[in-house]
Parts: sequence; structure tokens; C-alpha cells
Amino acid sequence: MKTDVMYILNQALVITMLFITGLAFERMVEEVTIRLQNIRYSSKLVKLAKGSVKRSMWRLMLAYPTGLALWGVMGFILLVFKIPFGRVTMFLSYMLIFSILGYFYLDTKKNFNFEKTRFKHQLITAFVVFLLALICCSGLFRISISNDSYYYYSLYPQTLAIEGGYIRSFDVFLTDVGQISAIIGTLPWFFGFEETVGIQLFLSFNLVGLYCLGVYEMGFMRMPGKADIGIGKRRITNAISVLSSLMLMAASPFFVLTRWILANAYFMTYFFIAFLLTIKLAEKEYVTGRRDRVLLTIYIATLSMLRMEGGMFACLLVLCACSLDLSDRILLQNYVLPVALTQILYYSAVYLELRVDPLYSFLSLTNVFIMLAVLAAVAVYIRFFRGKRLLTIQKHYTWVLLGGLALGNLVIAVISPERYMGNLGFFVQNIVHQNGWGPFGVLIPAALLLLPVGLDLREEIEFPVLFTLGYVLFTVALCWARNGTLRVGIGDSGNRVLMQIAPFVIYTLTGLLIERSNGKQEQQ
Amino acid sequence: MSERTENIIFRVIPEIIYRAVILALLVAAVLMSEGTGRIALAILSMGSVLIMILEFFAGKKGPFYKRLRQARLVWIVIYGLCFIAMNLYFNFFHLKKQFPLRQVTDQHIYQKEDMELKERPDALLRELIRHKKVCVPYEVREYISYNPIEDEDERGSGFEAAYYTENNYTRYFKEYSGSCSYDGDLPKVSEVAAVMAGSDTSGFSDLGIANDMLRYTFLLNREHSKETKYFWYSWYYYSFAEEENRFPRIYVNLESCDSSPELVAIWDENENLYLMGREDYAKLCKPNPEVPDEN
Repeated sequence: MKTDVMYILNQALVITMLFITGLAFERMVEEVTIRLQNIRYSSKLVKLAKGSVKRSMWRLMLAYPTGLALWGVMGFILLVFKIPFGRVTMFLSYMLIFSILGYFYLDTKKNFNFEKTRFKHQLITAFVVFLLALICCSGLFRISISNDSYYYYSLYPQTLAIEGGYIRSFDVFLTDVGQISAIIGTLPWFFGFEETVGIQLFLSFNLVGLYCLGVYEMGFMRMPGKADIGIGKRRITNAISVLSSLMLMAASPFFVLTRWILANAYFMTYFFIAFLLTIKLAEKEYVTGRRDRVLLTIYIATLSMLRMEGGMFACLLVLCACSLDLSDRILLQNYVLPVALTQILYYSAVYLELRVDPLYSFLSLTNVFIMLAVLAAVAVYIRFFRGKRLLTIQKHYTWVLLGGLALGNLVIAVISPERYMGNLGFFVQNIVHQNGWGPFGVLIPAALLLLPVGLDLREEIEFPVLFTLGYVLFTVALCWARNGTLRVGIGDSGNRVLMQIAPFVIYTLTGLLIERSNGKQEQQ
Repeated sequence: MSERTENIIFRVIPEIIYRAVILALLVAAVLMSEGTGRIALAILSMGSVLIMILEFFAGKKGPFYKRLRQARLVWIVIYGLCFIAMNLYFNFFHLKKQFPLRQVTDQHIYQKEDMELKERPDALLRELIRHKKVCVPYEVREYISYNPIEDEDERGSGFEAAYYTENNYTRYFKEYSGSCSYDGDLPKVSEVAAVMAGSDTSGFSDLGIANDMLRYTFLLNREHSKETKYFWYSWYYYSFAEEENRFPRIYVNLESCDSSPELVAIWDENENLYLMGREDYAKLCKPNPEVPDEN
């Protein structure tokens, strides 16, 4: 088949436009939220402005994921509210949101000029992004396509784009496919190309950039002062973040998922971004805190609809986030609420409006009630118990949470030993036989041994450690809860879900190695 | 409880258990790996164990402690570089056995590997027909015209295969082509085998089997009965097809499809599809005058 230059250009242009819309959205939200905090132009701003390089980096790195998430969430809203889903309505939706933001943004600019931005710099940035997008779309990087890639993430999105809305005959595609993954898959059919290889690859490289930034900040915070090997703190943090990022890029599970045209790459990316932003929010950054909350809301909403188990994993993140110094209001508004809204709207559309009733599907009414019950339980805990009741138990919240997940697995193993142990065996076999894992699974114990002595059961578990361990336990339990058994093979759904842990493991290990090698060791 | 006892219960014992578990996992990992991977992992593990043992004896201060910290940092960097090297080696030399990668330079989801392996032929079909007019021999008919019993339970497990055979391709072309129209002059399913037998089919390429493509045409079926759901489509084109050894194939005249703005799609009783340009149909597939017209 002939090379189609227009296909490449169109996809690269779409990536650039998503970047620009995401960046514009971030800037406007940041300025508007600062205004809402009634910051006055003062010497305080001068101090805050010193962090502007860091803020710019975060803004640039979050721009494309924000743009893509906006497309997904807005498309989802149109679909569940039965508004025709098409280029015109999406454009009008964008206009509406940016008009509202623009009104407040322009009003804000009258009061103060927080940061000088030059149109020329923005043009250069957009051009660089376009060039990088061209590279991602060029076919330079090999990818993998399977049956699911064709039917779930190409045929179904094409049909969705043609129909402009949900119809009942979509049947299992409504109950087995993460809807926002499918909405992202409509981009080719709306904008004149055929596949999403460039879109996915660009997001994956963006994730590496975000990861590098996250590790740099973590490293900088955990270094107690000039490292006593004689190298400056900034230099060593740079070296650590580069080395850690290269480890992530090389890691076989990460390599496999980012090259496979499925929803796993998107899910892993947005889950990691939400994880990073949770850590950032807990640091209570004065200037961008509210902006980060808005972005986190959008990412959590996206995450919950990228895969069918997205809502459940979002609940895991909320429960782990309860161990951080985040207010109940943030947890309820920016974590629980977006999950609840997306799930309720989706279930209403599928079961009440369309009355879809496939004989066998991933999503069933039982699963729906379980999801809603879990959401309600999490909301009740945060509102009525967290920091208010059963304080003796809550003093050791992280151990209680981890113990609870372990106990949950034990209960499942008792009530359904064959299927649970069978699934567990498949997970272990996939790691041991390197089905997509490569040497990752066997190299991690060597890294764990490198950690200096420092385990103390009296101390609370750190958030990254809690989340990573919780993810493993949760995945094993969740795979039992879905119908059907797993299998040995790289393409097994449970195996792919577990492989998504790669960036969390490397990030956590990096953090522990930095902290234990410098901070805690010195205190001891 | 004294502080010493607390330290033993909450720090020392858990630390020992943690280290023992990690060591056991490491030993298992070394034993299960092979070749150079085993050697590399064994060296890394021994280095980590050595540092762990030295740390135990080093105490918390003094020049030896400082040297040990520096050695640990160097070893961490070595570990990181080995991690990268081993994973890259696996990704580029071993992974392809279980995870075939392809280079998508021409921006199409259908690639030359698919043509060689005769897989996912409908991915090429969707691209071929995307901006073309396709003529088909059937108009879509509802299930009730095949089986007048309205009540699903009364219908039982009986199934009118003609409902699928005659309509699924039509639905597919209506949805994914530039435009689709009914042409009553085109041969029906019972006539196609005879037509194609008497024609020169050398220009047709066999793209592969159509079961998956037809299985997913449930997406396009706007009726709401049990026969229109994914479960039935999956049963018919997957389980039943395996039992009956029924694997329809897709044959496409690529040259005429590429050059002609109007395409003709005909299929036989086994749902073998023949897609070609209109001019090519007129030349290659002249209907056999001896075949009786059922209509």
C-alpha cells in the first residue's frame, strides 16, 4: 500500500492540537484558580515566581495528557447525555469550556501579570511538539497489533464515529470496552487518518518525561543536603532521574504495554499521572494546588472509564491517598466525585436508557452494585470516619489498609480456592516465564536487597510503597472477581493489568534507595 | 515493654524475615533463569548480598561506613545499568518470539504481515471501501421475514442461517463504505458458486478467513432479538463454524478495487466474499445464462 503523507500529517496535527488545547486549558485554569484565591500582586509573588521554571515544566508535561483527557471526557459526556457525538458538537463543547474559562482568564489579566508569556515561545513549543509528533507517527518505532486492537479500539470507535451516539446493538462493546479508550479511538475517523499509533506513542514518551520530572522532584526533596560523595545535589538528582527514566523505558513490561495498541498504555499513563499529582497535592504547593486539583479531577474521570476496572482502581488510589495529608474535601470532590459521576452516568446510559442485556459480559448488574457499594463505602469512610472515629485503628491506617487487602485475598482464597490459586499460579508463571515481563520480575528482588536496613513496623507505610503493594493485592483479587479464569500468556488480561505496575515499582524503589541511602541512614 | 524488646519485635525480626524472603526469591530467580541472564543475575545478587553483610558489620559511623555508602551508591548505578542492558537485550532479541512487532510506516492498520499471514482481512476491506460505492445483491431484511414466530421463547433454539448469510455483508458495506446500493441483477448466494466457477479468478487475492469480521457485524444489527446479539454471532461464526468446518474466505481483486470508483460485492452460500470493480465484474463474472433465475 502506498504511503499516505496526509495520514501522517493529520495525526501529527491532531497530537499538536491536543497539546495546545491542553496547555491553554492548564494556563487558564491556573490563572483563574489563583484569582479565586485572591492573590494580590506582592513581593510574595516574586518569591513564588522563582519556582516558575518548575511550574512551566509541569505545565508542558501535563499539556498533552490534559488535551487527550479533555477529548475523552467531553466525548463521554456527549454520548451519555445522548447529544450527537461529532466534530461539530465536540468543537462547540470546546468553545463553551474555553469561553467560560476565557471570560475569567481575561478578567484576571486585568489585575496582575503573574508571568510574561511570549507568543513566539509558544509557537516554537508547538512546532517542536509537531516535529516530535511526526517522529511518533512516522513508523520509526515498531508496534504490536492484536485482535482487540482491530475490533475493540478501531472498528468499534469507527462505528461510534459514524453513528454519532450509543446504540443498543453495540451490545458487549458497551459492557466490555473502556468507553474513553474507544472515544480516543474515534480521533482517526474524525480527522482523516486510520490508526492511533502516533497518539499512543506520543503519550508514552510524555509519560517518561513526567516520570523523569517526578523522580527529579522526589530526589531533590529527599536529599538532605549536599551528597557527601562530593557531587552537588542538583547534579546527583539529575543523574538519578535520568538513570531511573532509562530503567523505566527499558523495562520489558513498560516496553510491551506502550507498543501494544490497547487501552493498557493509556490506563498506565493516567494512573501514574494521578499518582504523581496525589503526591504533589500532599506537598500543598501554594500556587498550583488548585489547578492540580482540577486536572486531577479530569484525570480520575478519564481513568475510571479507560478500562472496565478503572473505577475500582480509582477507589484504590483514593484509599491510599487517605494516608496523606489531604483534606476530606479534596478526597471527596476531586477523587470520589468524578468516579461516582462517570460510573453512574455510564450505568444509567447502559442499563436504564439503552437496556443492554448481553448474555455474557464483563460488566454485569452484580458488578454495578458492587462498584456503587464500594464508592459509597469509601465516601462514608472519608466523610464520617477518617480522622474522626476509631482513631486508635486509624493511627495505623496504612497497615490496616494493607492488612485489609491481604485479608480480602485470604478470604477469597478460602471461599474459592481453586480459581484464586489457579489465577495466582498464572500470575507467577507469567512472571517466571517472562511473558512480557522479561528480566524485570527477577531483577526487582536484587534491588530490594540493596535497600539499607530501615524496616520498622511502628512507622506508617509510605504512600508509594503502600500503593504499589496494594496494587498487586488488588489486581489479584479483582481478577478473581471477574468472570472466567486467567491463562499463561503475554496477552492474558490479568497479566497486562499487573504489568501496568512497572512505573510505580521503579519510582518507589528509586525513592526508597534515595531516602534510605541518605536521609534515614544519617538520622540513624 | 522495654525499648529493646520493642526494637526486636518491630524492627529486627521483620527485617530478618524481609531479608530472608528476598534472598529466597533471589535464589529462586537465579535458579530459574538461564544462560547469560543467570550469570548476570547471580553477580548482581552476590554484590547486593555482600553490601548487605558489610553494612551489618560496618556500624553507623566512621570512615568504613562512609566508604561503604559510596560503594553502595556505585553498586546502585551498576545495578541500574545492568537492569537497562538486560531488559533491552530481552526486548530486542527474545521478546519477538511472544510479541511480534511491526513497522507501521504507511499509516494503515492493515500491514504486509497481515497479508502474508492472511489475517484480519477486514482491516484491508474497510480501507478499500471507505470512499467507494459498493453494490450488493441483497437489501437488509428483518429476522421476522425469515421466521414469522415473534415470541423468542417459542422460536426455541432454532436458527435461520439465511438471516446471517444474506444480511451481514450488506450491513457491513452499508456502514463502512462511502455508499452502498442494492443491485437486483447481481447473483444471489445460491448462484455465485456457479458464476465464479465459470470465470477467470486469477486476479483475486485470498486475504484470509472472514469469521472474525462476520462475528463482529452484530455491532451493525439494529434489531433487538436474541439472534442479533453478540452471543449468537459468536456462537455461529466461532463455535458452530469450528464444528462444521465453516471458514468463509475473502477474495478481492485488488487492482480493480483500487482503480474503480464503484465496486461489486457478491458472496456464496458459505459466505465466501468476492469483491471487485464494476468493470471487472462485467468482464470476469458474466452471469451463466444456464443458471435458472430464482426470482
